[in-house]
Amino acid sequence: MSHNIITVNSAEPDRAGNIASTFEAYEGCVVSSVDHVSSGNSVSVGDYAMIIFDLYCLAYENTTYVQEIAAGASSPKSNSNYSGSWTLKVAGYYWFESVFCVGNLSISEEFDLQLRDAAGNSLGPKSIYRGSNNTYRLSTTVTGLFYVPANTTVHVEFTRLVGTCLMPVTQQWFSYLEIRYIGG
Amino acid sequence: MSHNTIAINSAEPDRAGDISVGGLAKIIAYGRGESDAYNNSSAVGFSVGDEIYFYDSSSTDTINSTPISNGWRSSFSLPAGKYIIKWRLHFEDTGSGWYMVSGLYEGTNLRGTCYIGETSGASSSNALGQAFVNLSTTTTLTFKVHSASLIDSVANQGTTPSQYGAFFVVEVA
Repeated sequence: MSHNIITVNSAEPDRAGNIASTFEAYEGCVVSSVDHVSSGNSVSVGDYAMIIFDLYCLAYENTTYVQEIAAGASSPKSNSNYSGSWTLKVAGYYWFESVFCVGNLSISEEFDLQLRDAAGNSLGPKSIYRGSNNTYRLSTTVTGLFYVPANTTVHVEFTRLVGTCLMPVTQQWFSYLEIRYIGG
Repeated sequence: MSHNTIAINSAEPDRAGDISVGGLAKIIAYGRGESDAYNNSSAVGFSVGDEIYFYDSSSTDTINSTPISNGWRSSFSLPAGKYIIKWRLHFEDTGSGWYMVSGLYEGTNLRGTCYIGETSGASSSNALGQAFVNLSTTTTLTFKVHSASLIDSVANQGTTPSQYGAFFVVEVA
């Protein structure tokens, strides 16, 4: 940086003296269609809901604001392609929205999901899914709008289970994830 | 602020001359999965026009100069501006075929809806209502039943509405 120049977030003025915006609307956004919810196993309270990124993903790899936790690093149901948590690198408010499509649960089975940080603090309401005697596949939406300090890791957790809740192996196309930084 | 100092939103330059500027998010987040009985609210039922209540004991409001109070509430006020509002909810039912369409009302004007219901016994909190409002003055918005069938009584809701209900507001201009 030159001396005697005012900068904004380290960005210098151009020759006309203008400092360009340093935050684009989607710079802080992770958007992805997702493939699987879980890996075909039964789940337990405290497990993370899994998301796989292999479809139509917008800039999740290197956003300034969100970092996917390496597969298997903290996910009980990890496999090589799954992600179960994300580190929000910059302090501020975030919007989290994800849809998990599941199905084939019996009428005696149900579960709750909730967005939480690593310490177990809730970052939004719970989401419920109740099964049926049919093989319907429904989706349940997990959301949160919350403030976090820098480098907070969040995940979607099974917080309540009734029955075995065997997760289907393949529920493609019906799920998605969005994590958007909306300001400090 | 010192005289002759450039600042952006009251943020002054550091010694190197750099001004650190963050976003200016203004939000309301109401509902965090807590457990409180729905009959502690002022809800009267689930007929068309009945108000729908949300619960939070520690909400966030950076929009209003005086943050909205906690507890059970069916409405909230916003100052002039443009906002996106999202909400979600879940209620106990009395049988197959149940459903509820909740509406967000500005006076008598419907600004958005959200459908929840079941398919052959299966149900989930899958719906997310959304509305955009452009307010010229401070305005109160209220959640009400737009239409519903086979929703259980207020007394029989238990803590379900507080666990799964929430609304979110983001100021966009």
